[in-house]
Amino acid sequence: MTRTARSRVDLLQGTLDLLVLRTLLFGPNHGHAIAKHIQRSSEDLLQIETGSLYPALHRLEAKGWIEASWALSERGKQAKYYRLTARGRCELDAERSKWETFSRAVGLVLNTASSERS
Amino acid sequence: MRTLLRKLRWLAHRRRKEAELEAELAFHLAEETEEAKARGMSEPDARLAAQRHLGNCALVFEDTRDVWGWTWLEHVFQDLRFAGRLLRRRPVLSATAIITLVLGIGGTTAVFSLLDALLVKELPVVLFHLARPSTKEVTRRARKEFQHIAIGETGLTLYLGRDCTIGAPTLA
Repeated sequence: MTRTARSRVDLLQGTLDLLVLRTLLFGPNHGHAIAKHIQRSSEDLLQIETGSLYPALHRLEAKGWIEASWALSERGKQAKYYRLTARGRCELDAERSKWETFSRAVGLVLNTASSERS
Repeated sequence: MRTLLRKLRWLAHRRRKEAELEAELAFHLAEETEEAKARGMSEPDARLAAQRHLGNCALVFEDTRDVWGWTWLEHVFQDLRFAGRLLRRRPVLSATAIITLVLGIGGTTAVFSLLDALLVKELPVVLFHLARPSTKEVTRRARKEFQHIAIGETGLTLYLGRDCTIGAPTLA
């Protein structure tokens, strides 16, 4: 996600948090795998830059929504694995419903705009 | 609240956290390199592609450190150290300024304290005002502390002073 306008970055920050939490719902993972998973799941439409990913991961860790530990990766190297906390699970549900409300609202406006005119 | 405690704990272990972040980013870079190699690039090309994909490593490091939340504190200390260096470069000017401040603040405080002890504390001023006191309360307190009592219409007003004259009762 590129940074163009300041307000757009703030919106995307919350969305990125949601995507990361959702990815970790499937199980603990390290930063690189999280980015790859999001990219694959979105059919390559969303490419998370490391410049956004790692601040987001550390922010979520600071809030206590995810926790981190060091473990051996598949290739045998030491990696920092993140996993969802109980609090994170609740927040994921809350963020998801917020997102769905938001996208529904935008959809409503986009759909009524044409009929209002005529 | 828990976030604040976590951030304070991180501040205590900031060197370790910085080392961990470097290792985390290095791991990410290594993974990207492996993927690029799996796609068929040579070793140096793969590493270059991975670097480009990661972007500015130092920037990522700094952005993530900012999230930890104590950069403002570091900026304060940096500014203080800079100010210290500037003052050391001009010792005469710094000494003059510091001595002026000391004399100004210290001298004023000392003079005021002295005058406060000598004059203000001795003034015959009202100490407190009891509304509808009982006689027992009045006599008990009077015997203990006060040298002059005036009984007015709205209540009792007690004076503390060395040079009071016993006059007509006044309404405070």
